[in-house]
Amino acid sequence: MPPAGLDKLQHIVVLMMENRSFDHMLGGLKAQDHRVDGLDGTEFNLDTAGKQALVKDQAAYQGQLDPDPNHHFAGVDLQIFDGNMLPDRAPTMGGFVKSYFEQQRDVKHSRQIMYYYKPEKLPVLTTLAKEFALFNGWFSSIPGPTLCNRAFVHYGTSFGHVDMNVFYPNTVFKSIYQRLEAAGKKAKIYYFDAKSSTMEIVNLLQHQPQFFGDFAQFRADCATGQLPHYSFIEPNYSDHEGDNGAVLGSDQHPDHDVREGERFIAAVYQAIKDNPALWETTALLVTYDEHGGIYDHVPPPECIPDGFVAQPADTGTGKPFLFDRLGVRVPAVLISPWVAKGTVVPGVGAAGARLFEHASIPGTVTAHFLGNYDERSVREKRAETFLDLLTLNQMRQDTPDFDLA
Amino acid sequence: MAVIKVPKTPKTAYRPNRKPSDLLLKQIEHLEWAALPAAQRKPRQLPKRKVKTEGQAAKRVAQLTALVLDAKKEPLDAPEAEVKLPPLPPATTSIRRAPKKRAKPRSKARSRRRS
Repeated sequence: MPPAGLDKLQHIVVLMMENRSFDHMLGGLKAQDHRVDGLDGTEFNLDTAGKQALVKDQAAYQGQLDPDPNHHFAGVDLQIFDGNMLPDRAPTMGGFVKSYFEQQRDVKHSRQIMYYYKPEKLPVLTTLAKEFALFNGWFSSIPGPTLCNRAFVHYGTSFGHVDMNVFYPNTVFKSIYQRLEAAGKKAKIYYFDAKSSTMEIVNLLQHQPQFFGDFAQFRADCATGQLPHYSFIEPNYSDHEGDNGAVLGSDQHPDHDVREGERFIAAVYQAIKDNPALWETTALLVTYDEHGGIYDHVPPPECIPDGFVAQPADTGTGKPFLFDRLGVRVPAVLISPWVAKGTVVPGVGAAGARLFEHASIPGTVTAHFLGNYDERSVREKRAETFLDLLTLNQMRQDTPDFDLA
Repeated sequence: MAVIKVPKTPKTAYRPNRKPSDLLLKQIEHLEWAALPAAQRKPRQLPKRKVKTEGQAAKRVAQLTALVLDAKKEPLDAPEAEVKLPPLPPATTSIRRAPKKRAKPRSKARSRRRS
């Protein structure tokens, strides 16, 4: 007999933000809870002048990460391996400052890539992390940029891509939305509005617009109890004029103001929570597509090869990539009234370590709604699933609310 | 049950005139591709200088999203008509640049330090 919360689970919602590492957003929580695999203040990179650039809790909401830190494959390779190209190299996480220096040739500016937030500066994300389940070991799927990482969320693979290409002809595996639809289940991608639109799977927008809605519809679907089995939410990707005036980018992509992303996360959470029947039957995962070139201290582990190979011309490192190593760690929080308060899922090197990546998302959704389903990538089949974290038999009544007035 | 007040983001954070990110430019590229019928389609690089600001990119994204969704309203057996992409919406204002600083004459002490 499954726990009551898992038994009642009817909806899975995923909110994917942009370009922030675990340590940058949540590393400061270690000072409050030693179980969090965050920062103790001694972590550093060497800058290009050979001096230690220590992590500092001086991250600002806006203005420090301009230009946008490099997070293309070759740049991330430098960040992880510090320029070591030997065959037996080990990841050191020592090249972040050097990588950022290359963009502006300013030593002082490059050290800001080591900055992280004081927990009180991110009241929404840190509250959710402390109240529900925080993953110490959730990694982006590829040490590379946005779109190939987001492809793992939708397809369980990027079909060999390590770049920003989404021209995916002849996809071998169906997206999670197509799988669910074929089984008579409902799935939707809610983009923020028409001016932000959808980022990653234009092929689906073109051929299957029934999978798409906007954020206003998400709110309405929550209020009326019409949420599909699986929902994927995209934040606002740009500062633009909306119907009622200026709208701020809420994706937290540098250099958008991180506070607006905090408000967006709270708005998604609150839309679900404000409908008690929905709150009882829904699990919300908040995570980030990749680290955006920002420092994290945990070396990404090796993983089972994906069966695809990216060629040297595509990786930009002069070497092929066999999809045998995960990308840099990102924040991830699982929210449900059936998750025990203060759950910390152990990560790399800890007893009972569990490693998650974005293929865990279609893997979990498929396992829960479809059961056995073979036509999936190796990575997705082997990815950890996360619904076992809904352990409680009694629904919590002590969960927080956010006031967005 | 705790109620946590989430402060409003200051209006000064709004910067639609910042340069569009690579992510937005890629999004436009993908949407332009999707808006065209198969016969006209070829993956190509968007000339980056065309879209100058984030606000302009957002307008373009809206134009193209509407085109893609409108195309789906046509009956499936309708012949593919040639599609001409609409012109790029204007950037409402140009990118703000910091005013040029007037060169100050160097003091002797500063010159000495640098040498």
